[in-house]
Amino acid sequence: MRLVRSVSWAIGSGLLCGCGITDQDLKLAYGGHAPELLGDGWVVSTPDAEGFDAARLDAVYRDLYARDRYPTAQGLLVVRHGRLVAEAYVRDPLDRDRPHHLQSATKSVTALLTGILWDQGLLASVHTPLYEIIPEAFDDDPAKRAITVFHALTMQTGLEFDNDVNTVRLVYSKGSSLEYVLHRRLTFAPGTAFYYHDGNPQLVSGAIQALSGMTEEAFADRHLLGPLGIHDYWWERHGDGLSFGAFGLWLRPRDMAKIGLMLVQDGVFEDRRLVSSEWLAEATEPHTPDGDYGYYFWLFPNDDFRAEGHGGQVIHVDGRNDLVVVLIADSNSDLGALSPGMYDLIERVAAAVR
Amino acid sequence: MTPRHFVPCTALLLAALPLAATAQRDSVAVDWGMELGLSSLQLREAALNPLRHRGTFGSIGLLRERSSSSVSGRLALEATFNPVATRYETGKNSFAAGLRLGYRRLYRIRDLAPDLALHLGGTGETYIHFAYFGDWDDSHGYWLTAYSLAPSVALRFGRWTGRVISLEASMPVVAMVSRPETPILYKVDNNTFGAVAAKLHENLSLTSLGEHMAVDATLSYTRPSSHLARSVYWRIFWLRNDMDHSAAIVSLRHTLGTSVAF
Repeated sequence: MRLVRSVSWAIGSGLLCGCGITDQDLKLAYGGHAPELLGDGWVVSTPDAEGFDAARLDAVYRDLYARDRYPTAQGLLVVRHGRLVAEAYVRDPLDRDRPHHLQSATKSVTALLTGILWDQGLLASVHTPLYEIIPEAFDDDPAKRAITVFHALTMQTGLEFDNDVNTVRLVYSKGSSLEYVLHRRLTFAPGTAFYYHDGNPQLVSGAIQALSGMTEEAFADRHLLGPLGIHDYWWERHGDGLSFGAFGLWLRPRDMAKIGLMLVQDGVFEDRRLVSSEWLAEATEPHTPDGDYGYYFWLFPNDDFRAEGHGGQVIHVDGRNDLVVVLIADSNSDLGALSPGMYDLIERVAAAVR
Repeated sequence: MTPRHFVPCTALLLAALPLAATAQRDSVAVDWGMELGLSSLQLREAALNPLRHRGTFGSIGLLRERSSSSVSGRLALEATFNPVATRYETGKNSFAAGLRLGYRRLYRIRDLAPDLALHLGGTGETYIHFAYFGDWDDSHGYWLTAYSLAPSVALRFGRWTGRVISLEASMPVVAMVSRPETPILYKVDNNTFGAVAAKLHENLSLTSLGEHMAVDATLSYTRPSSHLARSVYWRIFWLRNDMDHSAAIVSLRHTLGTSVAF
């Protein structure tokens, strides 16, 4: 009896005390935010040199590192006057060097590529019906033939598509991804209401492929990502070969910032125009009843705009301050549940400009 | 190994039961029982993040035992479910579910004292752990599937046909294990039944103690089966897996339960 008691006590207390699973910290200890010169095209600078109140900017980063705030946050980059001013990765330093899932910030890149297509004359007008570009993907519903590229770019196609249900089905659908989207029923007449979902950018991706003769990814590589010096990326595809225009792009954070830099410079990067000023103006104009959405860009006061993806993937463009802020976070997380108020960091960066 | 192997593996385990039964020569007691338990889980899934998830809920089990004074065979199916959360979450949008199907065969090796017997044997087990962390990753499931073989030991105090205090433990020495490949570089899992079943057997690899360690220990008190509440038990199941293509998972489950005989 004594033996049984001793053995059970030893095993029991050993497992209870010795093998209890410890909680570990998500974030690293505060490690500053000075960017490293890597020879990747970025000129680095300091907050003081680029007109920031250094203490206020530092306070933003200290909150980013804080153990009990914004647990899903991964990194924050600040670009001003074309220079990388501050950069920190609070979960893993390697986050700097590996592509990160942009989620729906991909949509904004899809809009830029549509603009390049328009700039090149391959897309005659945003009001071109999609039926003229990808007729093979349509079903017999004549009402859908009124859907234009504009409707798809502004989330006004009227096609029923619930992201919580249909996105995964789109990803794993057999056959044509365009048919999967276009064969869904119309819930309202095209152009009459705003209904955000992942189906519309897939139609734009299909249009880009049909008009350019190459996948959206290949078109991006040739006309946007390549010229920006972005080579380490990937873009998920559907089984039919089409790039996912709504959520498929993975970029390194510094490369996200390059897109922001090109945007804040009105479409120009290293003296080369990549996207026309006219298109950018149109893409960042309000096109919806609430006035907060352009062509896959979310719009903010003072002409600020941003590409934004699920979980808190942001390329924020503040033209007034010649400022770009890039935020990355756990890309499948619930921002509201875990890191409410995380976007305040972006506003606080802008407020730190002297 | 693919999902189609699950059925044969399970069938093999089931087939072992009658084989074990026929090996018994002395008076054999056969019991069907059901277990109900309160289960507390701690889990750290490094493929997601380094935080500890924990939660308490329940477990339910079905078992069949055939035992004599010299040998016993036990087929057990246990299902567990635990809503879990980290220190950051207020709600519980995450859960971990587990399914274990195993056959344990023990031989009475020697009597250590007049009423204390040492039993040795082995356990073949299928264990499927599946977790979904809704707030942290609403697009992917996290799992561990293990088909394992483990030596088992039991110390039983008391008359075999009467009240028994038993301490049993087993630790797999070889296992076929499937874990999610990390980093996860795609948008979303296919959540159809067939795709999930296939996922649970993705990258199934042969592994052993260096990478896969699990300890299953149960302390139980059993009364003669004429009583409705046949036994009460405290079970500890600790598991750690860290394979090259995946990230480490550590889990610790305490279950306090009772079993009833049919």
